[in-house]
Amino acid sequence: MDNVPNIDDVVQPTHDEHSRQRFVSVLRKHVLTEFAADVRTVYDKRAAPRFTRKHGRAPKTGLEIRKEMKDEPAFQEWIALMQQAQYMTWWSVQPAIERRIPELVQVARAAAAANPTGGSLRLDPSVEIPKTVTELDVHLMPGCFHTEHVTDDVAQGALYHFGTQVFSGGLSHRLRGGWGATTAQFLKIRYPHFRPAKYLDLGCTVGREMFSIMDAFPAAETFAVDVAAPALRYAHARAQALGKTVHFSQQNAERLDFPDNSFDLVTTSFFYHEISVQSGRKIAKEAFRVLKPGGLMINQEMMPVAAAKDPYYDFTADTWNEFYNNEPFVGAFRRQNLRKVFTDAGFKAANYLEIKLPNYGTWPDAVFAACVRGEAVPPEVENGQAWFSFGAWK
Amino acid sequence: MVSLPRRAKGPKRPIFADPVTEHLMAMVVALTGELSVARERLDTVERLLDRRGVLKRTEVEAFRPDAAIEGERFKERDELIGRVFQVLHEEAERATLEAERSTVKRPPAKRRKR
Repeated sequence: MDNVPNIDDVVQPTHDEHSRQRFVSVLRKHVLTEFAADVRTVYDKRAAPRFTRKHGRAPKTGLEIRKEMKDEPAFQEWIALMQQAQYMTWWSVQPAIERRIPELVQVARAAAAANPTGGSLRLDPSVEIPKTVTELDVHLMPGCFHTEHVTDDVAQGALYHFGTQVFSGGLSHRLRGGWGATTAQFLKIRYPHFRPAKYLDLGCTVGREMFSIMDAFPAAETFAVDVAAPALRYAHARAQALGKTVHFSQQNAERLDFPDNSFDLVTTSFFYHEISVQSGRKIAKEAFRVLKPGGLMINQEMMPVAAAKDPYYDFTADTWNEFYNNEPFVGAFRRQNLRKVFTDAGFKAANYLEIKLPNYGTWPDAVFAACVRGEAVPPEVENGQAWFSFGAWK
Repeated sequence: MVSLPRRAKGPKRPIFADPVTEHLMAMVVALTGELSVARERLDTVERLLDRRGVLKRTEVEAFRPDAAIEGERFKERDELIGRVFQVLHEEAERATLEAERSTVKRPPAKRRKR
């Protein structure tokens, strides 16, 4: 086996850069918990009673709460802190990446050429990058997923990889396992006899969630697609370091080049809320086409409005993500009829599934298993404590 | 060396009625971050010195400045406060300038009326 250096080791932050990253992680934890609790108190003690006095009833929707809260200093300060922490997340890792771009490119090239784990990287420069990616930098990540600053660039992949580690670094429960682990453990507990032979991940970015799902199904031949070449190059190089065999290809999930009836399992992780409703419908159709009969498409997501049943969650989730974090489709995603998306795509209504799941890493295994079996409900929806899985069997 | 962009492309929605408030918040958070970084570096230095037996961390804790040192530190703190709150001084200077201009301008205005 050819020896390719671990691409993660190429980026070496200085003492102070590391301190800066740790600061941002802790800042984010503080903003998401302590400061968010203050905003909630202001709502409960001041804004909600004011609304009730005016309208003779409590607010019913996130929009009503937003209108009542938008001029509250606590809310404005919270949004400003969220936004600054979001920017500082990316800023805290950029200098260390900038210093090593030539070396990063070199390692990724070596990984693509040697392919020690037997996977592959298939890039297609003719793939048109969707406007949803080119028109605005999602998550305020400057340069988004796709921008190439040099030939064969991986910088934006590295930025997403290291930035998301800072992003969740203060939330210890996320480190034990995030969305991918939640999907994987759900499948293992709920469908113990399900053994996918061929697995496809859509919108894989740098592959973290897919790698977690692969751990649950080590025998599955794995494929992954994304539109962003820098993310794919980085993911492929990481796969070599992790000893994972994955066939990466640059494709739009709306138009896959895989034959019909190819896969036993198709997954997405926090992908659906970043794309338009129209695009999501096309992708469900495409998943139906490439799935084998008896195959499953399953998606991990934030809680839709109907499932959350909490207008305050709708207020914070939609206001922050959609209006201030460059995720314009969050509100539309959370309000669509997902069952209809899947039945319109060809899946039988009886084969549709959806479930609220606690974040696997947050709760003890017994609590997680009880939620999967429907014997308990996740205690909270905020701050990465619980997610929503939806999909369908073909 | 390639420079990665620092600003994200996309719509900029106002948060506060006055955009300056947002800039101030951003600067305060950034400043807090740099303070955290500086403290951590000092912590590293203390731990390394302690590990090498150059000084004990308890000595740092027990250190009490004499009058001369306290005098130097007073001056440094005072200057630091002046630098950080420079902008507040500027507001007073602006008000003084405005007042001076208005006293200079008033006589010609009266003359025109005549």
